[in-house]
Amino acid sequence: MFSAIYIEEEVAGSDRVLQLLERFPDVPQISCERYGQVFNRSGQNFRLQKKAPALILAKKYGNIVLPAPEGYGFNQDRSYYFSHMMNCIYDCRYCFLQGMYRSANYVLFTNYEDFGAAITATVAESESRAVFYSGYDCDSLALEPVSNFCEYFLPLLEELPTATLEIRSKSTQIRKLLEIEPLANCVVAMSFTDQQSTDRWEHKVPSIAKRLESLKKLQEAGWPVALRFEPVIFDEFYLERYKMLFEEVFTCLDGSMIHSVSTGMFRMPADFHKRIVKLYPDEPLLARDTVKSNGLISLMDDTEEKCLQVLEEELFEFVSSKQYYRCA
Amino acid sequence: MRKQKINILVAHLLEAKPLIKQFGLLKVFSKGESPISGLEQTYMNEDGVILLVTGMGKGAMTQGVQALYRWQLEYLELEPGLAAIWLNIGIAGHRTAELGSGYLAHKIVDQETGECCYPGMLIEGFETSEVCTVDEPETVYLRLAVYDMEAAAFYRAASEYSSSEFIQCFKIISDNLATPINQFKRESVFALIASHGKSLAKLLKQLLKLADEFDKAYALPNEYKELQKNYSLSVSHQQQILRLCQRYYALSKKYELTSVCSQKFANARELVIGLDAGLRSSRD
Repeated sequence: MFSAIYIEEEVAGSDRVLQLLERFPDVPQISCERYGQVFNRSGQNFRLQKKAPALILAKKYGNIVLPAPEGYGFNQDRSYYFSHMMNCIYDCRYCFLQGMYRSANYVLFTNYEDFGAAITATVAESESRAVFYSGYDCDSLALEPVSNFCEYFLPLLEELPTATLEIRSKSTQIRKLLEIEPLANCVVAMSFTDQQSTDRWEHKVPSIAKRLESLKKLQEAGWPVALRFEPVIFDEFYLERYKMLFEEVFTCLDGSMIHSVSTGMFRMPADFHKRIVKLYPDEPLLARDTVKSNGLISLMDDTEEKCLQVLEEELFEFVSSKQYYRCA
Repeated sequence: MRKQKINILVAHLLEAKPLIKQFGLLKVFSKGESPISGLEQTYMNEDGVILLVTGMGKGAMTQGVQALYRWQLEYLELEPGLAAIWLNIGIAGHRTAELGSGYLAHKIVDQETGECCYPGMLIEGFETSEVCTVDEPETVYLRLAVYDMEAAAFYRAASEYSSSEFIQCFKIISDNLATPINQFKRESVFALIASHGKSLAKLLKQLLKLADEFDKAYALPNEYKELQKNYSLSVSHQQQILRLCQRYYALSKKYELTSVCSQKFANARELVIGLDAGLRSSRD
């Protein structure tokens, strides 16, 4: 599963790390002083490393819980995000992570207790409901059998009824969720693009059908589930493709019970885009014309708003506008 | 012959001999003919495998890597953007490992400075180990690591010219606590290294596969190379034009690119405009 496991000296003796390492006796185990020595060094190729990523076990220091970017998320109140992991096992060609990190190796921060303390402190300081987003720098569930993310964070969430956690994922690793009673303050949000986009750009990602199957199981078990249609990449036939996607999704799921639905456009910082283009100069998606505004790259200019409105009209055949928001 | 070379560096001629035999290498320079100092003991074959005997120690290895790169850049039309494989092979010591066992380095520690580096881990089917580079032959083997005298310098120097995935160190155990270095017999070196002939062939095969994949993605389009020859291009124009050429290819518009490049443009600026216009019109 991993080409190697790097272990920061700081976490080497912890129970969580030792238990994890027991599962991979044949994988080279390599000590390092700080994860940055491996993860942040120059002279490595993200694209090649994606073929066989390593796992880096480390301790997270500093600001563990951060304010969520403006316009990100379903709530108007204070919201935050945290990243117990960096990088994703999937390989979506539109993903900003390719341009953010030098390395495709996964970093798993194993000091969950520090995350828990930071989340608890943030909730205590919040005057209103505090919403936490997980899955900004990784897929929250994809490595669940290794990370045991749900095993630690869901019981914590149960003790914090004024907090809400969104678990963002494209994964079907929902076994842990199905083993426990659903939490009203935990939303499992799954991302979707249309079938053609999935085929072209979402490498190693479970099929739309499999993701829907997982969401359906969660919904039937009582978990709040959400839909994240992103990134929407417009072209001549996008509407037909999204009609088909919406048909498939809302045939499977009860639209009225969906926690929230959002759309998001292809957006990323210009310097990330530049790095990704260097990694994948042969990728057709990245060869499209781009528009730069306020340091962000997008794929369209003045027609995007119109296309999005048309898409939203289609979406509102299945969900109410109250369930919907546009992700910035 | 493969344009980008497979660079194998060893410290001693004894280590080189089995590799010279395995890869059918011939000496490149007669006495006194090496254009760059430090390349006197360079061997090469028609498949692009180059071997250099650098001499022992970190300083010699560093100079060897630098000289080899410079020679290829100045005399062999090296294309810097493509994958260059750098491989250090040699005998080494270990506290407990069996004599003759071979290891790829997964971490290299320079004992003098404490500096650590981490070779890429995309190669499958090899035992790996930490390698500790020391300045004198090791007799105590304090760390549970492979002990050598060049790997740290090799990796540091080669990192200037290649991505970590293409830089590897392969060490074969020649001495351990039970059979320490003072009992080491020079004549055993040939057999020690020769016994890993199949492993080395496997290692090179994997590295070449990675390199081919890399080159396929990052090779400069031929049209771009022609434009570089035919126009006076600033660095900025080179970057713009390269990207435009890549976009034509990515969008399966190679034919249109050839057509645009066949036109004559007054200068680089006009060339950029023409390429951009050609790309847009080919999509309309």
